[in-house]
Amino acid sequence: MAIRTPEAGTGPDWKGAADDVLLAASARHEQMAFAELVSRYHRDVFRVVWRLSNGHAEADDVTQEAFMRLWANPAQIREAKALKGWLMRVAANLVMDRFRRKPMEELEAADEVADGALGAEAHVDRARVGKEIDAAIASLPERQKLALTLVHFEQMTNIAAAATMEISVDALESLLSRARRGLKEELGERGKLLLAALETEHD
Amino acid sequence: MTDGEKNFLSEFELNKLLAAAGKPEPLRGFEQRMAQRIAAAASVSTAVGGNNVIAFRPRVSAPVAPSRRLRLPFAAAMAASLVIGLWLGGSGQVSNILDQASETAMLITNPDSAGDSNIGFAPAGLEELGNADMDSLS
Repeated sequence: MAIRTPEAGTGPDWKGAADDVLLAASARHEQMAFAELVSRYHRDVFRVVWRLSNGHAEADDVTQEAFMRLWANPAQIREAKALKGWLMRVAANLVMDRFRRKPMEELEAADEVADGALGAEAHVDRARVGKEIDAAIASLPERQKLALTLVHFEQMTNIAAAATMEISVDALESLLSRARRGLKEELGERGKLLLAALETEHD
Repeated sequence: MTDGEKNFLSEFELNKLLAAAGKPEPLRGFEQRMAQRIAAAASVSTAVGGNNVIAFRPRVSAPVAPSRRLRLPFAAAMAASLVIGLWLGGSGQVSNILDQASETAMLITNPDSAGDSNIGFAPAGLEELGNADMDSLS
């Protein structure tokens, strides 16, 4: 029995297609197949770009650019299971290239919360705690931030994250360890206050 | 552990705080904007050649070397030279020419050898040896 592949223009058929089928179709310029790949991965890529660029307004554009690189030559992905890691790596490199040339915008939350007003407020909502954490993560060096983002926020295994960053697992674990230590130092005693605020809100 | 480190978060506490970090979402309409960008790129590539990979230009063949073009005339000249050589050699004319040429060459390089002028010559010192007084040697 012949295997039928989805045809162009029949959108719903691509929904259940495997990544390798979509990549092959994208290489044949099937825009609907590529749109399905975008639909599957754009949130993941955007989160990494947003985190690395410290919430820059151009995060959306950088995410699009990463997908444009894929569209230019989908055949360069030899194995479909490497697709997500490839997109993450390309996106991270784009962020570093683009924002190395011009300074990143400061997160609004960093100024609002880190001015010592936290202790004076009786109630700190979860959103403000989140912004405080984001600001602390933003202060980390790029590679530590990327390692933390891939492993903690994107739930990648150490092996997958190391492959994405093209470093050894030992090097990744070292980056993670330094990132966590750096966060603790950056948050300092405020960390305990933030934690207390979170627990109060839960109660 | 120092006093400062006592106030730092534990690993467990840090994980709880990280769970509260922002979870950003792309702006609404991301997929539509992406689709428009892809369509624009596809239309450009179609106009260029219907491909999103830039094709290599075919190599321009190198010009034919002049020696190759002269190969046939050169071979014809060599063949003609060989035929003339064989014809002259077969009729004996070449041998006669060579004999005359060699005699002429000997005359030019050693004029004394034209006659038997070397008759009566002996190696140097033989005459003195023949006239030696044998008694005087004792």
